[in-house]
This record gives sequence, structure tokens and C-alpha cells, in this order.
Amino acid sequence: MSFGFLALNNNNDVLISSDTKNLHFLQKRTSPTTVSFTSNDYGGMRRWIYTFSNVNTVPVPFFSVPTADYYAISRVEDKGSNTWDIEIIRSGTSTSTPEVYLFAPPTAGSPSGNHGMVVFSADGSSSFDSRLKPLAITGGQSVSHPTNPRTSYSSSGLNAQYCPTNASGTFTPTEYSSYTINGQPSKPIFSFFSLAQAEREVTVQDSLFECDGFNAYGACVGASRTYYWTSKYWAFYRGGIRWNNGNLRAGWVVVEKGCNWTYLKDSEFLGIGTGGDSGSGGNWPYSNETINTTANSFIIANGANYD
Amino acid sequence: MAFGLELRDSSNTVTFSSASVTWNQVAFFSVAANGSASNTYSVLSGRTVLALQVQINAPPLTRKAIAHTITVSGTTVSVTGGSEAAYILVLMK
Repeated sequence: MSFGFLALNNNNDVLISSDTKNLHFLQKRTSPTTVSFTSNDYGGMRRWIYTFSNVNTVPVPFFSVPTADYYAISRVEDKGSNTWDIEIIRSGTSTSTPEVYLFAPPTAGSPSGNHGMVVFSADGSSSFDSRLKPLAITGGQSVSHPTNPRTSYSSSGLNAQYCPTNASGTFTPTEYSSYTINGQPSKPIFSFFSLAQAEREVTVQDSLFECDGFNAYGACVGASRTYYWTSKYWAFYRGGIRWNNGNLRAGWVVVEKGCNWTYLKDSEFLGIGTGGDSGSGGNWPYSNETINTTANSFIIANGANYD
Repeated sequence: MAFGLELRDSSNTVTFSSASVTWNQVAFFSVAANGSASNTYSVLSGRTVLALQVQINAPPLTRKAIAHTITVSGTTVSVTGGSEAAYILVLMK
């Protein structure tokens, strides 16, 4: 740099620079604004919306992890008029909800007081302001989610006729990748955007033969027909992270599930529909694939610093 | 401390110092669905770079929501190949 301010930390990494923007604490919400979806099946599913107002730039969200379940930021949406929706997903059935913290460059904040240090960029805007609680990172790394949310998908117990079965036992995720991360605070907060996705499905079939005549040596003599039922049960997963005292797991959260059925008599089409357990109208995005498992990174900070 | 930087708040508590670690924001930009971008930031020279992406909309249930591939080569951050609109956050330290 030919002018400006540059501070390096003890590892020679950039701490403050007038050429970049430090992230600073902006706002915090202790509970969701809206509960989008709740189910205690399939390992538990929660989708919450945290709405923040008076945010004039793209924020960087962090969330606390009050339970040992899988969490992730699944969506960041600009609602206009400086309002942002942050969507958080979580597995598990606990009624506890995470706190969500927003960080942004200092120009998005409203500093007060005359004590501290401000660094200005070449354009005159502030790049660092100690009055706004600058973000300090305590850890972070890349993680890879396991290819399969479960090792196997059993069709046992699934009924083929009109999708009547709760398939929770078939699709509840069990697999994860494990990481040890030492030296973290007692209240870590994570910024982790869910990218990994997976879909798994199990198809079950059933049939019924009707004979109007009589059975002669195993054959129907007279009019007969065969009814065929097919039900395709499916689950849609997104990647999450789970924290438990220094152990981090990259695993899966079921965010949507459903079932589609078809019903035929011989070769005649009699019906198509979705089971009562289908939460999305029965559509599934793709079949038995896992995508976006690379370059899933997270960063950790100390939530207590911003409470 | 014998040397370095130490910032204290009005109650004399250290809030930020040379012992701190952080990621500084270099850029935050959006990339359209099926779009691409390539931006150069001279400040990235010689630094560790972390690029995060978040999909703006919930993944649709009618198609694959392929994430963008982000590559950092020198001071250039390239984003390509994703099927969904996304925010890209470029951090460095």
C-alpha cells in the first residue's frame, strides 16, 4: 500500500486494512420471526425465518447452536427497503431456537461514542470502527458431507397402495463426517451456508389379481384383471453442521419429503396422486443423487463477544 | 504488551488486538442463475482467500440446484457453472 492503514496480527495475517472492510456486529435476533416448517419425523425438521430491518448492505449471518443438532443457513433474501430474511434449517425435535447474529462492513452500522479507532478507506468510508465490535474469528475450515445420508434405504414396512406410510424410519439421516476442532469458546457461533443436497427414494409395488370365473389348476377360467400399485417415497436433504464440545459433524437435514403413487388395472391407467405425508405437492428435484458436496466452508466466532 | 496493536473500549477492556484473527471482506457480489463472473482484487495478492456462496432462493424441487464453482487464481476470483442465483462473499486475511 502507498497510503492508508494496515495492521497484521501475530500470524502476519491482515487484521485491519484500509483496502478491505472489516466485518462488524450489526444486529442479533434471539428467536425466529416466522416458523416456516416443523416436523418431528425424519430426524426432525425445522425451517425458521429471521427477519432483520435497517440493514443497508448484504449481511453475513452467524447462528448459535443451542442443541447438538444439525444447523445451516439455507437462504439469504433481500426483501427490499433494507429488510433481509435469513432462513435457518435444523434437524432434531428440540423447541430451542438458535440466535442469529448479523455482521457487515462498518458503514452499515451506527457507531456511537468518541472512544476508539476508526480506519477510513480511500473513498472516505470507514473500513474499521472499534466502536462497532469488529468480528474476531476463532476457527473455521472446509467440510465434506458424506455421499449417502444413510448407509441403506429399506423398503420394509412401506405400503405400496396410495402412499399411506410415514417413511421416517426409512429416510432419517444417520451418516456424517467428523472433525475435531479445539480451542473454541463456550458459546461458538457459526456462519455456514448449506450447499450440499441429496435426494433418496424408495419405490414399492403391490398387485392384486381378481378372477370372476373359477380357478382351475391355478388358472382363472373366465374374466379376470390385475391391479397394480406403485408408491415412490422420497426425501430431500440439505447439508448441515452439528457442534458438540469440540466435535463438529457435517451431516444431513431432511428439508422436504413426500410420496407419489400410481394405480393401474392391467395396462389401464386408473389414477395418480400423492400421499397425505407429501409436503411439497409430491415433486422431487432429482433421483438418488448427491450434489454440491465440495467447498462447504464455515467460520466460527465467539457469540459471547456480541451478546 | 510489548509491541503490536491493542484496542480497548471505554471500560478498558481489550476488544481487538494483534492476537485476534479475522477475515476481512473484500467483496460481496451476486451472480445470476446460470451466470458467471470474474473479478480481480489486487489486495488479494499474497493473502489467504476464502470465498463463500449462499443461494439466494430456496432450492427448487423441480430441478437440480447446482452450486457455482468458485476458483481463486492469484488475485482473480472466478465464479461459474451454477444453476441458481447466489451471493458470493470474498474474504481474505
